Amino acid sequence: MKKVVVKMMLSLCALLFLLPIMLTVVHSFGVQSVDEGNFRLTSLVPSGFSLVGYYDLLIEHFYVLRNFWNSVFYAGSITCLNIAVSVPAAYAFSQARFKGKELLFFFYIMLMMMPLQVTLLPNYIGLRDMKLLDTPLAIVLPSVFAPFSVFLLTQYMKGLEQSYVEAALLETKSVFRIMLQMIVPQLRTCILAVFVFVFAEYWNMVEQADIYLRRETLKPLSGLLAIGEGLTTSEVLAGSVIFMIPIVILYLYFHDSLEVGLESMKL
Amino acid sequence: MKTKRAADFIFAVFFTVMLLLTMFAEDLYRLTLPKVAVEEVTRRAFAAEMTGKDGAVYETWRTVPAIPTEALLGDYGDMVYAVNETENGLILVEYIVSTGEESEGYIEITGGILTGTLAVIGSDREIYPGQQVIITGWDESVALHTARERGEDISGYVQEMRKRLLTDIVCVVGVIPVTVVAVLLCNRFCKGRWRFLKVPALIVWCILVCLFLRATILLPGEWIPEKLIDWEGWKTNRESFQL
Repeated sequence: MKKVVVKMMLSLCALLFLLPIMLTVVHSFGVQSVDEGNFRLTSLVPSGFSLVGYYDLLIEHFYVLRNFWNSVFYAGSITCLNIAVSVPAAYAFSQARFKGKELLFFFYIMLMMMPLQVTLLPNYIGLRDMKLLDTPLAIVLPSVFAPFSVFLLTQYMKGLEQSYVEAALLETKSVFRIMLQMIVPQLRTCILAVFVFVFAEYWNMVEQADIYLRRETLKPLSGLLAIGEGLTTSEVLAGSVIFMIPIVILYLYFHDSLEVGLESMKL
Repeated sequence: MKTKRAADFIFAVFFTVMLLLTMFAEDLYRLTLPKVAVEEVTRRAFAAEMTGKDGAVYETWRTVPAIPTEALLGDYGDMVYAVNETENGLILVEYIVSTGEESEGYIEITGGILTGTLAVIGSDREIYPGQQVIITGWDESVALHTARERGEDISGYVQEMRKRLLTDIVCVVGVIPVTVVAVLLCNRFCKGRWRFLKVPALIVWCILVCLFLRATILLPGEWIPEKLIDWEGWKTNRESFQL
C-alpha cells in the first residue's frame, strides 16, 4: 500500500514537471484555447483541433524560419568550436605540468560560477570595441570560450590512467598526437555528453541575442519567441513546439552517451 | 536501436519539412494574397474647346489626371482602390474621387486622388480596403474575375480555364506513379556503401516535385481562401466560383 502511494506521489511529481510542456504542445493545436490578451492558458484542454497556429507562424510569418536556421547555425557552430577549444584546454589542465595551473583552474571554475549577467557587459564592451556587435560573431565568439565544457572534460581526463600517457610519451613527443590519437578516443562518451549540454545551452540562449544583436534577421528563434513581438499566443506556442523538436532529436541520438558520460564524470 | 531509428526518422522528416518551408513558405503565403492589376494615375490629354478673341471655337487639348474607367468602383462609380506601399507590404486603400469627362477608356479625375497613385484596375477575387495584395500583370485569373464582375460573357475564359485545370490534375496525378518509381529506384540502387545517398536523394526528389508543382499548377484566384489550411473556405469558394 505504501509503495503504491509513493509511486502515485512520484507520478504526480513527474506529471507536474511535464505539465508546462504538455500544455504547450496541446494548446499549440488548439482553437481559441488561449486568452490572447492576458497570455494565459485558460483550460487544460483546448476547445478544438486546429493547425492555425502553425500555419500562421510558418506561412504567414515565414521570416521565423530564417530565425530557426540562425538558431541551428549558432548552436551548431558554437558547440563544435567550443569542443575544439575545450579538449586541448582540458588536456592542459589535466596532463600538463606548469606553474599556477591550480590557480588558473580555480579562476576557470570561478568564471563558470559567474551568472551570465555579470559577463554580459564586459563582453558587450569588448565586442563593441572590436566592431563585432550586431554580427553573428558577437554571439559565436564569446560562447566558444565558455569554461563549462573545459571543466567537465578536465574532470573526466583527471580520471584517465596516467600510465597510458607516459607510455605514449615514450613513443612520441608530439602532445597533439597523443591528445588526438590516445586521449580523444577515450573521451568519446564524455565529448558527446558535453556536445548535448553545450548545444542545449546555446540553443536556448536569449540574453546574448537580445543584447548583442539589433537586427531581427540575425536573431535566433529563442530570442524571437522570448519577446514574441508581432506573434499571437498560439503562434508562440507553435513556435515553442518546433523549437523543442531538435533538442528531443538530440536527446534521442545521444541519451546513452549522456547517461554514461555523466556517470563517468561523477556528476 | 529503435530509439536511433526513431531519431533518424524524426530528424529526416523535421529538417526536410523545415527546408521545404524555408524554400516555399513565402510563395505559399503569396498564393493566398489577392492579385491585382494596377495602373498609375497619370496626366493624359483630353480634347477641349477654346473660344478665341474673335468668338470662334477652336479644338485644343488639355492634360489632366486620368484613370482607366475600370478603376471606378462602387454604386456611384466614385470609388477607387489604390495600392499603398507600407511596412507590412502592399495594402489596399480606398479613395472617393470626383470625375470629369471620359475619353478613350479613361476618365478625368478632378479631385480625390493624386497623380502617381497606383489605381487598381482588376483583381482575381473580391478585395477590400486594408487587405494585403500583390501586383500582377493582366493575367487570366484577373481578367476572368474582372470580366465576371462587369457581367461580361466569360464562357471562352471558362473553357480555357477548364482545359488548364484538367491538365494540372493530370500532372499532379502523374507525379504519384513517378514518385513511386523514384522511391523504388532509390531502394534498388542506394544499397551497401551507397546507402547514405538514400535520404538526400529522396529530399532532392521532394524538392524537384515541389518546384514542378509550383511551376505547373494554375488555380483560379477565387478558389484560394485566406488560409490554405481552411478546408471549408476552399469548398465554399469553389462552389461560389461555379467553374
